[in-house]
Amino acid sequence: MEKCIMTVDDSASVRQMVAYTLKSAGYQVVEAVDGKDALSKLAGSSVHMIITDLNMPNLDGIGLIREVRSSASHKFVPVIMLTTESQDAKKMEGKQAGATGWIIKPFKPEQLLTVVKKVLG
Amino acid sequence: MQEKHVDTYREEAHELLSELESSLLELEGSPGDIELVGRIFRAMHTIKGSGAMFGFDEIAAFTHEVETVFDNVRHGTLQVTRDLIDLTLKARDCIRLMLDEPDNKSSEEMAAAILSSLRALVSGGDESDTHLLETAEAIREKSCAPAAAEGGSQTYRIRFTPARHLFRTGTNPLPLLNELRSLGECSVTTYFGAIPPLEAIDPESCYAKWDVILTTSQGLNAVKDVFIFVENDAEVSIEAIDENPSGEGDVKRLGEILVDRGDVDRQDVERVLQDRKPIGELLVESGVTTSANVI
Repeated sequence: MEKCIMTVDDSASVRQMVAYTLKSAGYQVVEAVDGKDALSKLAGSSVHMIITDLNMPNLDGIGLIREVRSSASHKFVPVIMLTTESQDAKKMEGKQAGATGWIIKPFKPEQLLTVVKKVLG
Repeated sequence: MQEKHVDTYREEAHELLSELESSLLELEGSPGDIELVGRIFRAMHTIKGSGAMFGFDEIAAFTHEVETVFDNVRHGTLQVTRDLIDLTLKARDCIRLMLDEPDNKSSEEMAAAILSSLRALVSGGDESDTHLLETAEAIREKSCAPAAAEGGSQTYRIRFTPARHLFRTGTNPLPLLNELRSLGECSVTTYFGAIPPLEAIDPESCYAKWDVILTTSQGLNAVKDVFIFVENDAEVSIEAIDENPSGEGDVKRLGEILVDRGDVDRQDVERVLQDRKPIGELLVESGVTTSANVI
């Protein structure tokens, strides 16, 4: 069965690049524009991983991680943060909120796939 | 496909620059509006982050500096003033020029002047107390490749003891073990001794731990990288061991490890050691020397 990954980012170009990379590697992809959109699309879905930006309107990445970790149906879904090098404090905050790991922007497609494989196997 | 992403980025950046302009003009009338400041910060953050992803390094470097100034505003260490808004509007024009005319060198001078004025604003006029301009190289992603592989193989003993709460970070330890296997020859022993009786088990807790012997030519950093995401959620010890039978003491060390893990009996190790041919005999048999040299 194909694994399904959700990509959450308010940047259309980043979402597009992440989605294209993942689909090319054989994953199904669901896109969300922010944390609130992600939560509404998560409900009732079987997503195997979430890749989320941190700075987003409505509900940011840290808020999304907290919501996912407190949801009965998705609390064990791996969540990967997209962070920049200057966001060390945010990265720590994300880990404390329950994030599984991170990818530092900018990243190449193959680096994204390496992290996905590391976490999903 | 990269071209399509770049086109999408340009479109997105133009939209964000328009939003940036209207947010800045609104901020002029409501300098205390934190929501507006957040919107401006996010617009610049997206222009910067996505720009770096798609090769717009100068835009990313410049926007990072401007974004940093607005981060100061978000944290209350800098006030919104007319000068700040004017400079940010100029920054917006500069980004647009970089986007539309990447070969136009006048944007470099424009960017330098804007950054110089922003620094003066942040430092309160003391330009000697300003941080260095972050170059495109500084924000380009650092390579996270492991250190260059050693010339030969090395054997490691890796003890991986996840914290009880590991599963609650969405981490599955099994892909990590598979990643170790991909690095070289690997022997994995699982310990289930900490699993409580069924009635006491918390199904959301991780009770297992692993002891791994790995021989790899990928180097220590490649082994450490496997555990990069679980540093705070597991105890990991990585110990180089020498399985090269250059001396009896070295071989016994690996043998002792295998005995401790229950993989072999002590009597078997001692028997093998006794049966092991001396190094001189091995060298003669392989033809690299003669018996006259080793007597």
